Amino acid sequence: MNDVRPDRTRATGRALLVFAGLSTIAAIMFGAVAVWPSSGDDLVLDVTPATAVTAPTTVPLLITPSPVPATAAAPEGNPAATTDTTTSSTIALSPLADLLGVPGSAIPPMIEPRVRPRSVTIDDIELWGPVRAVGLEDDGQLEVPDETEIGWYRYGSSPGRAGATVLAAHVSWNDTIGPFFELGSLEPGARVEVRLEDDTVRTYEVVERTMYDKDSLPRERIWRTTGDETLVLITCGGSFNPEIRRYRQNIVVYAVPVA
Amino acid sequence: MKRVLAGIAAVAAVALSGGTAAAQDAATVTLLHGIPGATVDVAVGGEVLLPGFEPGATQDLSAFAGQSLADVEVRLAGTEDIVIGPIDELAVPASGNWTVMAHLDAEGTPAIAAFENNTAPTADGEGRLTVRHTAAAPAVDLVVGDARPIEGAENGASAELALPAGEIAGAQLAPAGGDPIVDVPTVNLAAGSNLIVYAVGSLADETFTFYTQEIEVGTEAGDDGDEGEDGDGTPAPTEVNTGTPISDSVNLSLLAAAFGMLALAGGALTLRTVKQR
Repeated sequence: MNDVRPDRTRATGRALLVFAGLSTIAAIMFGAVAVWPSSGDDLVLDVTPATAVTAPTTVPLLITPSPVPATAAAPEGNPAATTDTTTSSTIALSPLADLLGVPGSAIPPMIEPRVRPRSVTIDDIELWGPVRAVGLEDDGQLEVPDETEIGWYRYGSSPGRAGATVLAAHVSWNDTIGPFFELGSLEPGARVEVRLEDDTVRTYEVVERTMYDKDSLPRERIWRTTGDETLVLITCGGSFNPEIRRYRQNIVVYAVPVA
Repeated sequence: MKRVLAGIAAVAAVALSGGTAAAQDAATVTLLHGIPGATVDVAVGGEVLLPGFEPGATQDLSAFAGQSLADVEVRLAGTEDIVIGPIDELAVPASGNWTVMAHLDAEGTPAIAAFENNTAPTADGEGRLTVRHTAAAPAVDLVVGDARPIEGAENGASAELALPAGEIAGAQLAPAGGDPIVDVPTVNLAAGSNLIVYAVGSLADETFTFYTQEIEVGTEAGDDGDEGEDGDGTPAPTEVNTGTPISDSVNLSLLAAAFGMLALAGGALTLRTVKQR
């Protein structure tokens, strides 16, 4: 929580100090002219330290081209007057305007929410299951729904977009079979249909099934929102560790969109 | 008059310019116009510093870091009508990353606030979502599904959430404890970024909207927001557990003990099967 409001003091003495400060800033610009009245280059050199700001990194997405000249090349009394494009030219611009950095915009870009998957059908293993969005548990594990649902990893991609759409579900759950109970028998060529919230259906074809140790899931293939569109189905498999009552491996099925 | 004084102070000022540069190196100060519906002129010392400053616009003020601006007025553009001020002295922060903002207070009166922006690196694969209530509206909760990660935030409040990078959709605002009334626009939170969302305007005047500001802060893993050579910034779960989960902690310890005995008994055999397909 950071809420700091500047004091609005009204002490006359401080105002005088401030006036001195302002005069100092103004003097940086006009003083240079007084010392080197004939040389515009020298003026630029003197002003440069005060205008070489690093602002573009602060609002990188929002920067619009600056209407303000980079530095005051012309040593006139009111160098910023040429930037006054939006108001009456009779307004006297402060010489301080020359010190302004880069303008930008805080208007957020419009982002259409993604269309989420709603259900999955895999005829080859007689699977149909509803999908809900999942994230991460507090300890960093993937959140997995109970045996009645399939989880769509919402920090990954979504059908129709670049990257990997990850769907994960239990193979078994407290003595009940889970939605992905037969994922381990899904062969290349099988069709996977994903129905989206807008009622469109996206069809994928299985191209690969691989078993990985749990700590060896290939990050660059599964957890990505860039690259080729891929559907990734994940469940548990391999040997069961009775001590922690968990499987030691993950079964991962990769599928690509059918044109 | 001021310019005459400035000329007199010329030599001293040239000597001081180095100090000015040092101050701005240490600070990034962004001015944000957070009052929808009113284009303004910002005047300092009676002269316009920033003409035609539009709602939602930002202006880098880093060059003024550590300075005090005297006699600051925010006027309706092209007029002498004062919206905010006159402020005798506006101290521009000397260090850190700040957003100085013209906004409406809870009663709808224009005011100026300064928020310090957190530029600490985020965890790997995470971004920082900062939410600021700068609108003429009562205290609000941030509602995401069934959860309320921010509750009772009043005008002037700023709250941060560390979230996995990715699209943040479906968030809403509700009056504290009430039903949601406003949808927060979908935003894309990049790893290693502090995305600041400002609620601005007035509910009563129907000018309520959202502005955003993004500051790259990097992740603890590296400067570019990526983690490792393989990732593209998408957060990766530590593990995917889709088998029988641990469901009952009381029974678990008994079970673990029982299974532990079994495992010891059949130890070698169990270990052998681990690597089998």
